[in-house]
This record gives sequence, structure tokens and C-alpha cells, in this order.
Amino acid sequence: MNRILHLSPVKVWALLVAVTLISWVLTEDSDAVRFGATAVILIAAFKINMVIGHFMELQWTPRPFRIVLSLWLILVTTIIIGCYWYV
Amino acid sequence: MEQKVDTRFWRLCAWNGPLFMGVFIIFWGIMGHNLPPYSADLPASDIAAYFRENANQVRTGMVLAMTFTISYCVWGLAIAKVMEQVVGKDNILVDLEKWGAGLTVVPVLVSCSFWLTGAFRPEALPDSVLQMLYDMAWLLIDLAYSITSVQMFALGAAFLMDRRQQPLVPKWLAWYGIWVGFMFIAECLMPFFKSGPFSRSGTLNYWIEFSIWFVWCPTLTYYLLRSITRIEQEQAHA
Amino acid sequence: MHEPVHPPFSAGGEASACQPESPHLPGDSGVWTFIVADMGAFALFFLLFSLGRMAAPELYESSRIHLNAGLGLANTLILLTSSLFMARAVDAARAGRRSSVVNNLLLTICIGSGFAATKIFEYIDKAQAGFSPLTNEFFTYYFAFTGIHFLHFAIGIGALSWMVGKAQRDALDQRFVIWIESVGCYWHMVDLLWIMLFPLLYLLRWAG
Repeated sequence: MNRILHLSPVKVWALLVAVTLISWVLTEDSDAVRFGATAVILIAAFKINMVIGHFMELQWTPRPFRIVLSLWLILVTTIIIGCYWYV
Repeated sequence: MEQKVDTRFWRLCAWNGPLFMGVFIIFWGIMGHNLPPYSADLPASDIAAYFRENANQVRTGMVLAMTFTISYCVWGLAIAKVMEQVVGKDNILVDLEKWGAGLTVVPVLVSCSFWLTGAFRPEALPDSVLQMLYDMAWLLIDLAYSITSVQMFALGAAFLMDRRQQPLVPKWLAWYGIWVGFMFIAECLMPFFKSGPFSRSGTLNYWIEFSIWFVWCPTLTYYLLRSITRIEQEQAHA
Repeated sequence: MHEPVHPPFSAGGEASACQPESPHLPGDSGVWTFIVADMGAFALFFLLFSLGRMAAPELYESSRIHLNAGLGLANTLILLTSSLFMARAVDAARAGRRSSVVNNLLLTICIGSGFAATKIFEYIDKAQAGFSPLTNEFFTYYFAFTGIHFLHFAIGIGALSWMVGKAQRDALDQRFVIWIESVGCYWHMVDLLWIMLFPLLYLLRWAG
């Protein structure tokens, strides 16, 4: 069966923890506040995408639900980053 | 289910849901100036002036709203009849739905009577009293949410138990109703705010909460009407 | 690797139920209505917060620095780890390994409870420092959104506890798999919403 990469839950978890810690370090860096904050939100979006795809297992789903959740993620990320930069 | 049921008048009762909604939009909402309501941070004199200048309009609106409040209960009883075809007559979910729908009528009726009281002799009442009546009505109608939530949870749970190949009421709608009932909990924050999204005229506690309910009611009615037809067909073939 | 399991009672004739090779939607399709609607509500919360922040960046920043980001980070890691055991419980259910299902569910609940402990500590700490939902708009949103999220969490713990009982009693058949998948997707949603709430409330600094 031709499947999209199926990572085991432990690998997904390890990756999620790793990027969480990376984003934590980014917020500590005070030089480039705006870019750091943007990166933190983008990393959060990446993590959510991993949770949707691998933990909720929507990677292998009928397309509509995956599309709805992807649109949700794009919308939320755009709102947060857009408003952040617009200030 | 077991015996044949008499489905006469079921449709008439089911149409009472949209009737309730229509009446409330026009008479309670537009004529009573609750669509949207006056913000809670307006001075008392503004609300008092409104009652004094539009007394007859508010009276008419509230009289008609109160007359048709019972149609919510009638609608709830139609839902109960369809539920009985899913979970049986003895299931407590049917009772919970009926009580939830029936008791919802009480706070709606009483809060309308507060607005009506304000419009009854506004020239003789001080501004602060008129403001208080308007506040009381809104606090009551919003904080009575859990009564309606019980109705929504009960009918949602019952329709999820449907073992038909194609359920009478689709699962997504049952879950949607449960979600709406759950979302009403945000009304708990309403008494703490006079402006902002959680206030009585705010984005969340007014526009979102009322809209999601207003989508649910006619959608459920549509599936109720279709269910009644299906129940009649099931009986004809049995 | 598991084979897709098909719901015996899928709602309203979903296309996927007929073809064995087609991908399937985990859990009950109706539960997804709840999840999508709920995520929509949170999208609105994020919008309200972002607009509020745009209007008063100084106020939001001076309030944000009072939040304990370390606790927020701890809660992110707690929920991620709890989600891992949830995913393992679902896999175990598909493989029919009962004791593994029960153990992984219990781990999901135990680790998840850490979130409650941290959150309650945080709320008490904030209250003692004199912050309440009425302090200002930032704290209104902070308490309201994390509070509503906490309510979701609590319902999730209830559903998980109920699943532990079910896993001990019931046959691990397709219906059970749908149950555990549904609860699992809900639990992952609780995790997912926190993943965005945490940086939005605790980490977004104002450049000034």
C-alpha cells in the first residue's frame, strides 16, 4: 500500500518535544524579538500539523476533513502573525 | 418502534420551532430592541429614553413574544415524539428533553415580562429602575442557558443511539447540538462584564451564542420533518 | 502497523465505508463535527485576543510578563507526552492487546493530571498576586480562554476514565476501536489547542 510516511508515535513525540524546546530557546533570545516571536508561532503551527497528521491520524483520511483542519491552521496562523506584525 | 404511532399533528408541532424563532426575531429582537441589545455600559438615561419614546412598540413586541413563547415547548414535544422512535418511550432522555424544552419557556416568558414592565409606565419610573428592568431581563434570559443545554444534551445523546442504517437525525447534527449546549457556558462570564466580547451585547455572548443556536433550531426542524415522513414509511412497510 | 478499521455504523453512508482500500476517518464521524466546531470557537478566541493586542500592545505586554512561561512550557510537554500514550492506547486497541490499552490509558490520565496540578497552582498563584479576570482585558482573555480550555481538559479526563472501565469490560471489537479513536481525537484536540494558546498568551513579546 502506498502510504505517506507513517512515523511511530514515539518518534512523533520526540520530534514534538525537540521543536518545543527549540522554540523555547528562541524566545529567550532577545535580539530579534519580532522574528523570534514569528518563528515561535510558525513552530507551533508545525507542531499542530504533526498532531493532526500523526496523532489524530488524518494523514490517511478522506480529504475534506484534512482540508478543513489545514485551512483552520492556515487561518489561525495568519491571524496571529498578521496582527502581531500589524501593530 | 414497537407499536404503530399516530403521527398526525407532529408536523404542526415541529413547525413551532421556526415559528418561535421568527416571532422572537421580529417582536422580541427588532420591536423590543434586543437585536442587538443596548450595551450594558450605556447610561441609564439612554435606556429610559428608549422605553419612554417607544413604549407602545415595546409593549406590542413583548405581548406577541410572550404569546408565542409556548411554541418552544410545543416544538420540544415534537422532538420528544421522534426521539421515542429512536430510544423508546421509557428512556429518561425523552423526559429530560421535554423538561428542558418546557422549562426554557419560563425564563423567556418572565424576562419578557420585565421588558414589558419597563414599557408599561416608563414615564412614572426613574431611569435607574428602567435600566434595572432591562438588566434583569437580560441576566435572566442569558443565565437560564443550562435549562436549554439539558434539552440539547438529551436529544443529542438519544439521536446518537439511533441504530438505523441511516439515522433519523444525522450524527453531525446531534454532536453540533451538544456542542452548542456546551458553548452556552460562556454566559457564566456575562454578569462580570459591561463591555467586550463576554458582555450581553458582545461578540461571543451575544452574536456567536445566539447565532449557533439559531442555526441549530431550523436545521433540527428540517430533519424532524423528514424523520416524521420516514417514520410513517417505516410503519407502512412494517 | 495497523490495518484501517471500518466503522460498523458509519453515519449517513460515508463514501469510505464501502471500499476497504480507501483511507478511513478515525473515530466516529459525528465526533468530528464537535471537534471542528470547537476548533472554530478557539479560532475566534485567537482572533479576539490578537485584535485586542493590536489595540493595546503595551497593556498586553505589561500583563504578559506576569505569566509564568516555565509552567506553560511544562504544560505543553505534559500534554504532548499524554498524547503519546493516548496514541499508543489506540494502537494497542487495534491490535487487541487489552492490558496494554488499560495501561496506556492510565498513563494518559496520570500524566495528563499534571496539567491540572500545574494549572490550579498557576491560577492560585495569579489570584494571590492580585490578578483576576477583571484586572484588565489581557487577564480577562487569559482566564477565560485557559479556563474554557481547562474545562475541555476536565471533560477529556472524564471520558478517558470511562474508557478505562470500558477497556476492562468490553470486547475489543471494532465498536470499541471507534470509541477509543473518538476519545483519542478529542484528547489530541485538547493538546493541539494548548500548543497555540501557550505561545500566544505566554511567549509573544512586543518589540516596542
